[in-house]
Amino acid sequence: MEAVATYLRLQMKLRWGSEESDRKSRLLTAVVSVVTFMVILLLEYVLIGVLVDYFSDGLTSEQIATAFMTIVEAVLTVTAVTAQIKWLLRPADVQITARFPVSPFSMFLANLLMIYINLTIYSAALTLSMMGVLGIATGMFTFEYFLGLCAAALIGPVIPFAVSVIVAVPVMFVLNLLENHNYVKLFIFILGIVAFFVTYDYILRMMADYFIYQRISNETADLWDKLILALNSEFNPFVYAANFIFFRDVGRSLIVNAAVFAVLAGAGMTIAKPVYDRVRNRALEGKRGIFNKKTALTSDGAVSAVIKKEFKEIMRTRVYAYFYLGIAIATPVMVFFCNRLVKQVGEAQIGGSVAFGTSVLVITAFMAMINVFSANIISKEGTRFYLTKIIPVSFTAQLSIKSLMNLMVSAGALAISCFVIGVLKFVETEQIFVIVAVELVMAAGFILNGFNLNVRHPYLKNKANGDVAEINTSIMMTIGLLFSALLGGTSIVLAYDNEIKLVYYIISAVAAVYFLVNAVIFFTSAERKYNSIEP
Amino acid sequence: MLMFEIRDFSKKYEGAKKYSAYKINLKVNDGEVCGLVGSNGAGKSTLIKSMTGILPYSEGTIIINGYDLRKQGVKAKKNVGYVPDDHTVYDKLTGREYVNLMGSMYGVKKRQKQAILDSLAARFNLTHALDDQISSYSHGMKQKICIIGAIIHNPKVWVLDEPMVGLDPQTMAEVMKLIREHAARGNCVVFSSHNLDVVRRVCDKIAFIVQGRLASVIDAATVRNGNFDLDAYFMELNGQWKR
Ligand SMILES: Nc1ncnc2c1ncn2[C@@H]1O[C@H](COP(=O)(O)OP(=O)(O)OP(=O)(O)O)[C@@H](O)[C@H]1O
Ligand SMILES: [Mg+2]
Repeated sequence: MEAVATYLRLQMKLRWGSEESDRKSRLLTAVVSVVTFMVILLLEYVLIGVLVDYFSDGLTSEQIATAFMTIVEAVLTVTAVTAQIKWLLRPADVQITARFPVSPFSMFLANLLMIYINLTIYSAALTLSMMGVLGIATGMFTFEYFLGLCAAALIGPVIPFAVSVIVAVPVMFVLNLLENHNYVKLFIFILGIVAFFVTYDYILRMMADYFIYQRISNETADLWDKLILALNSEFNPFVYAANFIFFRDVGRSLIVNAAVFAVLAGAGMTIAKPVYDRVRNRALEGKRGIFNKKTALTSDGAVSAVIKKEFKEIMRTRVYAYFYLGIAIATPVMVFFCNRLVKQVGEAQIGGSVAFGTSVLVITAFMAMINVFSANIISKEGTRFYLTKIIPVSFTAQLSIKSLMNLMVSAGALAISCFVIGVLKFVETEQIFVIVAVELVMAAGFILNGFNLNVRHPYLKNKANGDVAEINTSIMMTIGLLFSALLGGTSIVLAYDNEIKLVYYIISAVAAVYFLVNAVIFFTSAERKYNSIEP
Repeated sequence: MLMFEIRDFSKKYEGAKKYSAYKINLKVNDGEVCGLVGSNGAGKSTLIKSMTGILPYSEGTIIINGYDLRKQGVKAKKNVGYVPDDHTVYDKLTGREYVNLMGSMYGVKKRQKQAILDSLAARFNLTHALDDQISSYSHGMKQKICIIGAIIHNPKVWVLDEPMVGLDPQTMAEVMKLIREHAARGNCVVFSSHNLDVVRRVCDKIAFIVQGRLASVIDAATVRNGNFDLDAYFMELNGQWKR
């Protein structure tokens, strides 16, 4: 038992401990997370307000709260499964921990405990904030409600944890099976992106509908109605955590939680433990590439050599290869889908001009996604960063080459998207030209913004637990979505009772300013900042 | 002819309290091999990383084949080849691709690449693995490919940070020979090592670094000919500078 405690303490230090030199980046991470979270809470507040407004007759606030608690629990479940896979089944630190005089079983237990503790923290944070905001938005926030939230937060992790213990192993098996089925993976990846955009687009348009026209379509209302009722069903296990918020059915809820925990966690442990041992042994052996390829020596110049190297690295790093391929295929599908939706719903209710705004919205978000990795371009070099410094090519030139490559991918995706919306006549020809111009400038802006960010915050050494710092990319994603909402939103709102030309001018101006600001920063300081990075 | 010169060079890492290198002056001529010797943390890698353009520095001047590294960085770097101490390279590439890439960066043509790669790979017994991805290489194999990649452009100043670590005895002998050959072609070589025996056999001059300062530079010929005890000298120097 003592070994478990020691190991647990070590894991906590590894995962939560602060590194002195990392203070600034930690602060930055914290600020970005808080801001993102605030935005989500604000969105939730607005959304709940809309729901309550419309369903005050049909549904009770309690039912809405129960449905939302289910979402919180679902998030916890996904978190738990991810943690199980990442920490237990695919541990990055297995080489280190294997040397400790701690039995594998103790480590297994310690890791599970660690995950449970982690979940409890998440549960408290999510339940108190999300459900708190919900309470305020519905006007049922009292001290008693707060006590109920605390109780629910405490019970919250039980079922997600139990589910994750049993689900993590099959999920990992599926992932491992997929390992060599690239097309299936690609397909799932594209589905994921499409789903994300459909949801994003759907919620934004629902909000726009509500705020501009003060109404919600019957189909939308119906859908939410059914969804919330379904989530209140007795067969939804997460209801038994939500019950604690209102202290209803406490006895039965406790029993259900305990029973589910006992059965699932017990069964999971018996399955998971042997798998865990096998996985661990395999991880200990280490994986080495067996890639072999005959190539010829060439007489390239420095520029084409850099381009070729970047290209090879991307193609041989699965994550990046997938990312670009997936985006390239998903883009037109996405644009088509959104525009068709707009055509169906929009023309009847809002008018045709909204198609342009939606296209801008979707394509801007895509441009941002394609280029998020530009915020990682220096960090990506990692321990090989020194090579970029010794070669006799100026840093601005090196970065410009990389930005050209990114811009080419963006231009490709943009061309395909515009081709799709052009052929299907979703927007007018004149609008296509505006989209191409604005989005190319935006893409260049995103790329330079990413570089400027990364050159100031390079993360060349991976964290102790093997995680690559991804803060820069999430900042860029946030910036991208903000611009997507800004440009798209402006277009939709303004096009409603203004000259469309005005919309063109405004979004072009925004894009131009964004690009120029970043270009000036890049060309005046990138060389100096790059040089001052100490690997 | 003067190939490489350091004047009043000092380096303090960002956020550090102490200088890692302080007021160092050093000159190396063509045909010369200069060894950097010093205890762990003395500042050898700091000096080497600064003279290859990896580390930024604000105090002092580094001149490579007539070019000021700070003011004419790109031109200066064209004349440098660098073998890092931790031999990290683009391990997604194959050995041949990596050497090809490094050569292209310095504008080396196919013919010259071919000639150097063929002869060095044979000498290092690496020919069979040239088309394998570097991530599958062993410790010493990575070191070998780093060495080849750093000399492919026939640099005026060849800089190696602890090149002998992890090499088998035969390869070690080859590297020592290679260093001498490179200097003999009118270039200069600067390398750090903890192996005093290697330093004694290969170098023309030996620079002793103690706590970031250049303690002394001695002529290696006197060490080889006379009865100068290098090991004892090393101990004595580091004893004097107790922390
Ligand atoms: N990135 C860094 N940031 C801060 N201080 C550093 C950094 N790298 C090295 N130092 C410090 O600079 C000093 C010199 O280090 P350096 O790596 O140059 O030593 P070295 O002579 O190469 O040692 P070794 O023989 O162990 O390789 C040491 O005190 C070290 O702590
Ligand atoms: Mg060193």
